[in-house]
Amino acid sequence: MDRLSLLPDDLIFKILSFFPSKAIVTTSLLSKRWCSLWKHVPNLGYSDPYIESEYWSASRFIDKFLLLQDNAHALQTLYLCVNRSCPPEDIETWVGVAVSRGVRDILFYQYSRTYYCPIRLPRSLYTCDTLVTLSLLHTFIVDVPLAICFPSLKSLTLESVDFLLSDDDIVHRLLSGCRVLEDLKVV
Amino acid sequence: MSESNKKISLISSEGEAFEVSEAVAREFEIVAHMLEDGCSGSSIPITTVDSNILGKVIEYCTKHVEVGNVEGNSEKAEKDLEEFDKRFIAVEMNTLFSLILAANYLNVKGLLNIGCQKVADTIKDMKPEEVRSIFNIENDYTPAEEEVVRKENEWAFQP
Repeated sequence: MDRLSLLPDDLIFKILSFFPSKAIVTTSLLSKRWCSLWKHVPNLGYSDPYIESEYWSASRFIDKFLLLQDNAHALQTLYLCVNRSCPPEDIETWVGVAVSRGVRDILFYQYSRTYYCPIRLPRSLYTCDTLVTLSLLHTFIVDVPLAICFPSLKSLTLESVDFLLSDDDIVHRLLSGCRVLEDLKVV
Repeated sequence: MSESNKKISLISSEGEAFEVSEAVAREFEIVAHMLEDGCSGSSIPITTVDSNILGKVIEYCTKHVEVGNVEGNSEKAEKDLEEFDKRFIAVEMNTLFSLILAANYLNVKGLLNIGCQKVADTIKDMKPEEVRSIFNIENDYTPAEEEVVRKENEWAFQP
């Protein structure tokens, strides 16, 4: 008996949420039951396989994944580990899509040995009312707006993050928009 | 009233009674809600879970309650608990699926998590043919249909 395919969809999504997104799409090949399940999995997790991956490899995958997924479903988590050649405007778009789909957890990490490519995060992120966890690691964020409001943000991690202005000012500005923050890590 | 002394009987689908402390029973969120809703009976039927699986779920919850009650030395306790979870969930597939379904029904989040993670760890690096063979998934695509799905999702299969 195929007990895996007999599980209710919610449990299959839970199992698939432990997969990297590439492996989630591969399950479409298992059988007809699995053909479109991946389109409803509320997680996007992508890591560039190599530090020197082609600049388009992340974009090709993530663009298609977001385009083909059922956008009526919330996207709970967005985990992106990309190298510094990944186009910043693409990153801005993906985060914007995640915000519009009610994202709860965002983790963003740039692989680099030397410098970080400046990233502009979409304005909508800074007023996202569904966001619970935001982790920015090894990155350079520009253009942080003055109006910031994270009504649900409980955990904020900024690890090796540079901002264009004085870092203290920006961190202060980010914190002023948090109302229910429980964990803060700035390294 | 001392909650920890109160005993509750959980009745499996075969009618076997398992007596546990209220603290352990409350690890089953479904039971915790019943108790909060004023269900005062001391025996609670768990009709969809058989004795073998119910016994295992109780073992899991008992361990987690025990460790949760020990104060101090939390790092070591956490490590022990991780080890326990790892051993506990190393079961054959049929039992694993029964545990997942029971944890989902009884709403034991920790157990549901490690169960789903175990299935995921087993299959996430496998080829579709290997996954099919391990779980007896019948490939009901015709070769032509499978080719269409493969073409549609080609963007994801490239390295």
